[in-house]
Amino acid sequence: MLRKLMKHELRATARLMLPLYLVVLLLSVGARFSTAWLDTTPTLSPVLEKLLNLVSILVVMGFVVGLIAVFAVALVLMIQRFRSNLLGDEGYVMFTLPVSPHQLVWSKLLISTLWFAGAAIVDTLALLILVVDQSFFRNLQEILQRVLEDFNSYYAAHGVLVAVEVILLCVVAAINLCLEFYAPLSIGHSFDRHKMLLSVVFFFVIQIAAQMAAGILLLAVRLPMNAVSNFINSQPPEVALHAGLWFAILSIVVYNAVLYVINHRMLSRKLNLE
Amino acid sequence: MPWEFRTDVPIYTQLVAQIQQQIVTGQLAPGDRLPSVRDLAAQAGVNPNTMQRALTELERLGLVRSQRTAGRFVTDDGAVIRSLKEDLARSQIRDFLAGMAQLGFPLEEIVTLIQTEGEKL
Amino acid sequence: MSILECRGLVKRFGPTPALAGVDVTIEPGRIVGLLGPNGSGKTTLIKLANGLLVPTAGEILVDGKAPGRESHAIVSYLPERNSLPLWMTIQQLQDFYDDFFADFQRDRCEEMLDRLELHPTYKLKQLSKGNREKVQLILAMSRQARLYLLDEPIGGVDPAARDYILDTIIRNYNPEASVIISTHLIADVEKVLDEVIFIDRGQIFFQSSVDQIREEKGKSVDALFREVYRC
Repeated sequence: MLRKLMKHELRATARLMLPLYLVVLLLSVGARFSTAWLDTTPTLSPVLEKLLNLVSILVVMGFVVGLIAVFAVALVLMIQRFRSNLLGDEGYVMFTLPVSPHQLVWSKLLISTLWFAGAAIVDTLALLILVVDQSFFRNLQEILQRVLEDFNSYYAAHGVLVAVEVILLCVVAAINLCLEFYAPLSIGHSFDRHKMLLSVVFFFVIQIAAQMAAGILLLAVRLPMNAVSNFINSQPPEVALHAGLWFAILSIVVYNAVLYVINHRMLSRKLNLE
Repeated sequence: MPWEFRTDVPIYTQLVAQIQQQIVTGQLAPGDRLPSVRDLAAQAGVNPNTMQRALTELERLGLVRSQRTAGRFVTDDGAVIRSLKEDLARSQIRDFLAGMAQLGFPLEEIVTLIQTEGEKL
Repeated sequence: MSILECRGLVKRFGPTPALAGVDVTIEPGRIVGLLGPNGSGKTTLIKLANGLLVPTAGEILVDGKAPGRESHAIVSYLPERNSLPLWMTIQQLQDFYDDFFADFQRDRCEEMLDRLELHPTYKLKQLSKGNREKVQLILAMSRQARLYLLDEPIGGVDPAARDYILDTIIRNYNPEASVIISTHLIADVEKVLDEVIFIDRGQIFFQSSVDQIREEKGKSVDALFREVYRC
C-alpha cells in the first residue's frame, strides 16, 4: 500500500514540480545565451540592441529566481500537501483508505525528500548548463578522476564513504525539515478552532523546545563530551570527519524520531477533521 | 405505471395491493416473468427488503410462484386470479355498501338505484 | 454479528457533548435512516465510525473492530462534502479507487458514469457541484462494501438528482450489506428505509422499523418525526 500511496503522491506533485524543473533548465539555456549576448560588441541598431539587452537581463534574473524557486516551491508544496491532503477536506478520503497513518506519513516524507533531491540535481544541472563549455566535456573524465583522487588523497581513501555520509545527512535533514512542519500542523489541527494559528504557535514552541533540549543535553553531557572531543581531536583528521558526520546524522535521526512519534500520536489518537 | 404510496399504511401492504391490482387488470398477464427484486424495488423507489417481503406475501397467496433459477412468475392458474378478482370486488362492494348505509339507504333501494344507473351506461 | 455497534459512545468538542452516550446496534442487510435535525450528532457519529474522530468515552465497533485500516477496507464512506481532489480526472479517480479498494467494481462504475455522460477525461474541477456529488456517490456505490455510510447524500439537491441518488443506492445495494443514510429530509428517503434511528442533541431516543411505525402509529415516519421534534 505504501507504494500505491507514493504513486498517487507522485502523481499529485509531479504536475507542479516537473514543469518547474523544466522551466529552470530552459531558463539556464536562455541565461547562457543571454550572458553570451551581453558580452558581444553591439552591431545592431541602438533601439534593438537595448531591447535585447533588457530581455537578456530579464532572462538572467528569471534564472536566478528559478534556482531559488525550485527549493521554495518544493518546501511550500511539502507543507501544503500535508495540510490539505491529510488535514483538510481531502483527509476524509485519505484517512478512510485501508492504510495506516504510518504509511500516509511515509509516503509524504519520501516523495517530499525526492523533490528536494530533484531540486538539488536540477539546480546543479542548470548551473552546469550556464558555465560549461566544450572543453569541460572533453575533459569530463579527467576532471572526475582528479576530483576523486583529490578527495581520496585528502581523506585517505574514504572519499566515497564521505560522499555517502553527506548524502545520508542530506536525506535525514530533508526528512527533518518535513517533520518540523508536520508535527506542529498535526498538533494545531487537533484543536476544534484556530487550527492554522495554533499550528504556527506550535511550530515555534517546538523550535524553542528543541533548542532548549539540545542546550540542556549539551550541558548535561559536557564532561563526557569533552572527553569525546578530545578523543576525536587526537585522531587523524579523516576519522574526526567521519565521527563528526555520524554524530550529526545520528542526532538528527533522534530528533526526527521524537517529531515522528509526536506526529503519529496526533494523527492516530487525536485526529479531528472538521 | 406510476407507484404511489399513502403515508399511513405500511409500504409492503401497499406494494402487495398494487401488484394484485396489476395482476387482475391484466397489466401483468398470467405466466409473465416478474423483474428482479432489485429492479422492481428501483422502479417503485422502495427498499429492496420491503419489495422482497411483498413478493413473499404474494407467493404465500399463490399469486406469484418462484422458480429457483428462472426467477418469479405471475401465476397461470386462472382460478386463483379469478378468486382474487372476486375478493377485490367484494371488498369494493363492502366499502360501497358501508357508504350507502351511512347515507341511509336500505339494501333494496340500493339495488334498484344500481339497476337504473346501470341502464344509463 | 452486528456490522456497527456503539456502546456508551461519547464525543465532546470542548465542553459541549456532540454525542452523549449513544448505544446502537445495526444488523447486516438493512438500509437504515439516521434521522435528526442539523447539529443533532449525525455527522459526528458517522465520522467516529470512520475513525476520522476519536471517541471521548465508550466505544464504536465496525464488524467487531475499532475503526482502522481493516474496517476501512469494508466500509464505503460518502462524506457530506466533496473531499476528492479537484485536480484529478474521473479516470484518475477510478485508478485511485481501483488501487486502494479490493471491492471496487470498475466496470460497474464506468457504466454508471457513462450513462451520465461523465467522460473519463473530465477533471473534477470542470464539473458542476451536482455532478461532483454524483461522481463521489458513484465511486462510493461502486464498491461491494459491507457497510455504506452516506452522510447527507440528498442534502441540497433538486428532486431529479434526489431520485437519481436513491435509485443508485437501491440498484447497487446488495442484501448482505448495510447502508446508513443520514439526513434531515425524511419524507424523501422514507420509502427506501428498513429502519430509522432518531437522534437529537447527541442522544438516540428511538429505533424502529419503518413498517412498524406505520402499522402501530398509522402515520408516516415523516409525520412522526415532525411530531417528535416539534417541542
